[in-house]
Amino acid sequence: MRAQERFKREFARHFLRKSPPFAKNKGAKGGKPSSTFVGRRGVGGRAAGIVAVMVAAMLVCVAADGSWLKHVPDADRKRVNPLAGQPDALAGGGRIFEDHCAKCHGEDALGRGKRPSLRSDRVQHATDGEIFWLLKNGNLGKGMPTWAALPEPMRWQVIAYVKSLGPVSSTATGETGKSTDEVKP
Amino acid sequence: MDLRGLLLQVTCNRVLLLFALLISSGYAVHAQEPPYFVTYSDAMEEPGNLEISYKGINAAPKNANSFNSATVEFEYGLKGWWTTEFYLSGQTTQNDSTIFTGYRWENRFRPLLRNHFINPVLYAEYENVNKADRSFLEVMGHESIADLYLSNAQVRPELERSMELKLILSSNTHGWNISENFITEKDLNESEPWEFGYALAVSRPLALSAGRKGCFFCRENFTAGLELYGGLGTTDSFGWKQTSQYLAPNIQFNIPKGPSIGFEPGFGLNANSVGVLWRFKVSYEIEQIFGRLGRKSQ
Repeated sequence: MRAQERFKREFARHFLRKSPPFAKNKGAKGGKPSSTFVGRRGVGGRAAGIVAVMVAAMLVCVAADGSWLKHVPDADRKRVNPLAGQPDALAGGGRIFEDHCAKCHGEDALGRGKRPSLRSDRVQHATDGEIFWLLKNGNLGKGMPTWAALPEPMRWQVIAYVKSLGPVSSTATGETGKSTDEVKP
Repeated sequence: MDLRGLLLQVTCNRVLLLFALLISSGYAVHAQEPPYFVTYSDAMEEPGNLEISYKGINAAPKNANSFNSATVEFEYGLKGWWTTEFYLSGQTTQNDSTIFTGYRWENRFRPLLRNHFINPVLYAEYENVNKADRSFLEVMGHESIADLYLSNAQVRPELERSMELKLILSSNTHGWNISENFITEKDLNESEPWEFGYALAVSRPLALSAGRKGCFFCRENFTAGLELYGGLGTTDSFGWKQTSQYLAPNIQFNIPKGPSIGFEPGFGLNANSVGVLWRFKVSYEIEQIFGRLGRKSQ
């Protein structure tokens, strides 16, 4: 018990003497231990806030890291593009891509500004069903609109076209700020 | 022509000039919006894109002067789930005058971020228009052809500030879009009852897949639809009585790398309605408007 009291006293004395910023806090007048501890809690709260912001930032990064893939139901994930490999579908898909997708993702599909590349490994290795699910639902929280109003065959045509472009790594494009992992096409 | 008429004309000229500049710079993209003039679907403006539309109406109501109404709309996508839109309206009545009738500001929110069989969208609008407004962006309460018998000078001083709320429900299936709007409006100035209206619509592209070769008049560039809209009375007298109702087939042509053009004759279904409302619209979507402006200013 005595040891505990001594520890508390030493702890209070330590912060009173060696921590001028704490002593300057409001409510720390006279250097009363209780006031000092109020100041300490304020700094602690600030530190906790910084940590919380850092954690939140990390979570946002993780969320932008293709997290939508986790939400794709298995039944949708397994869907196969009925138009895959058909030359007519590719040509038509290219036209739809130019009309609807190129404005954000660029005519070469390598992304534009903060809009991600569609030739990243993540997109190119995603199943047809996963991309179809993304086109249908969008990622509204991150700026990707839903394309459910586009008829289903047109969506498959676009997927066939995008898949035909093949992967290009972000380092190969030599552009910064264009994360190939940030799949919110 | 009075000062306001002159201002309206100058504004229209400037908008047309802006249109011409934008079209010449080739910034057009096509949204996936259905061809409706009154009904809203769940289609939101893509984030960062600005759509400028001109909607015109021509009508020759029985026992009233024919008129032309013009509405210019600026629709901007703030977020994937949030679209904001600003409207300016005016009209010209034959043997009468040309006047600016007011403005509207609306916001649409999509509360569910995933696609469902029925997608709800919440719509809130503030209107500041006078009673000479003939934009027919919706038909509410007991609006009827009798409102058009009064001259602009008589109704223009009556300013209406109102709040309009809509519940938009929309489905997309097998290439079809089916949309239902339930509308209510409350005048903020006077202690008038709540007014009600509705709009129902269905549309489909003429082709569900894109052809191998691009062509100007390809079927996939056209979308056809049908709208049914009208008033539903007020809280005091809810129902179809003394309301105007319209059935309107429409078609939209998305010009490749150009604007979208829409046309719709709206046929009045009862004696309270105008015989035919001839509607026309041109809309042009500019991709990433502020990004472009930023890059140009650098």
